[in-house]
Amino acid sequence: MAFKKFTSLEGICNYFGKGENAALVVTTTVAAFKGIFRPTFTLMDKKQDPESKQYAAFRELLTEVIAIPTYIAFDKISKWLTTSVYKNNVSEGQLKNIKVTSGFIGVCIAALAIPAICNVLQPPVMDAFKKHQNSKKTKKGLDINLDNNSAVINQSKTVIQKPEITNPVAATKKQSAMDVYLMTRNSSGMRVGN
Amino acid sequence: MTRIQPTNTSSIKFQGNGNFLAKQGFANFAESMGGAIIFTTVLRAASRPAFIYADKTAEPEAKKYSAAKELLYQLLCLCITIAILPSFKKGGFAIAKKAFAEKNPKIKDIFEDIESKKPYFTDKKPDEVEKLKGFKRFLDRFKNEKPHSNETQLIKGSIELGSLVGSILGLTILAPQIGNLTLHPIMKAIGLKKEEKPQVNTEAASQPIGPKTNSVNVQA
Repeated sequence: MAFKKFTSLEGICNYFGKGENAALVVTTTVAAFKGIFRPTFTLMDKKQDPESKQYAAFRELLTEVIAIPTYIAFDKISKWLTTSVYKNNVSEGQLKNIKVTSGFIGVCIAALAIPAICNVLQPPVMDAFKKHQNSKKTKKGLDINLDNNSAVINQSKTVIQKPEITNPVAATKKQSAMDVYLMTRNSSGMRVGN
Repeated sequence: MTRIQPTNTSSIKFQGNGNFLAKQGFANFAESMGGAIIFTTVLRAASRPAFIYADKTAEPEAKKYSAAKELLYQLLCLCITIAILPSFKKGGFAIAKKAFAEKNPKIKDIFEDIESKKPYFTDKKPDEVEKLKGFKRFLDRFKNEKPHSNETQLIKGSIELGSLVGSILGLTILAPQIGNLTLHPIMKAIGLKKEEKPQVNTEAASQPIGPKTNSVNVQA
């Protein structure tokens, strides 16, 4: 099995020593660990309310989930393009250099493209997540316009009813997905991913 | 120490359409994990604030704040990576010596050569080579020796493993924690404040019918 070489320190060092996929390995590994640690740190943040924390953590996880296949795709595509162009024109050593350099360039282009891809893919997913959060709130009889419903819960402990806000002034402007997105983004230094 | 001139194997002449893709210098840089992570961090520092600023759905002040904070965060990541990578590379080199030198006599010989500063195949001047120590001396030797033996690849791989561990530690653990502590004061110092949404006075707004509502206040 190909993964057997990664089970020992010698196998791992041998693979890294060849340096064929250095850029891809380091960027995808860092992205994977970011996908684990950054949402964890966000959820551990005591300054934010739970809903915002969940939203921010999910967004950070989604960023890394988008990033990893993007890096791999751009690396493979750039290597395939350059080797198909140059394989008959250069020596073996030169072809190896071309593969390594083009893989690096592919990873760099991916690093530039990931924010754009996230701008396209994230909003619908985050909207769906927000709707899911709102539906959970509605089921519990809470106000979807409030960040923190604990006061409502405490005050209406004896009578559980859906809060009715009759005064239009009191009715807070419903926060759009972008409002919550910017709010959670501004609240910590752990915003966009890799 | 006499300088040993590199042979033709290190200066590859390519025919046809010569291009930078086949150049050894670029390939050496592309094979280095430290170089890759630093270069991609620089690209992120350039591109992410630009994308945030290009967001047409967000308010201008929020965009300005977010873009500035993102730029500062990526610069912080860059500084942390540059600061800690050399230590982790040294650590990787030390691990190679501990883990492989005793089992493999060829690797032991390589370490002894490096420590004794024997002359080797290099394109650097003798006084420049004289200044190199430890893993830097090894890397210079590795760069110029072609083809690489399995032993030198193993040591190089161990140094790269150190780079990888350092990058992970720096970018996933240190940078967010240091960013949380430092970015807010820096943003305040440069005069950029987070836009706060107006508070709703719940006492004035609450009616006899309906429960009291919480004030809506965007947390910092």
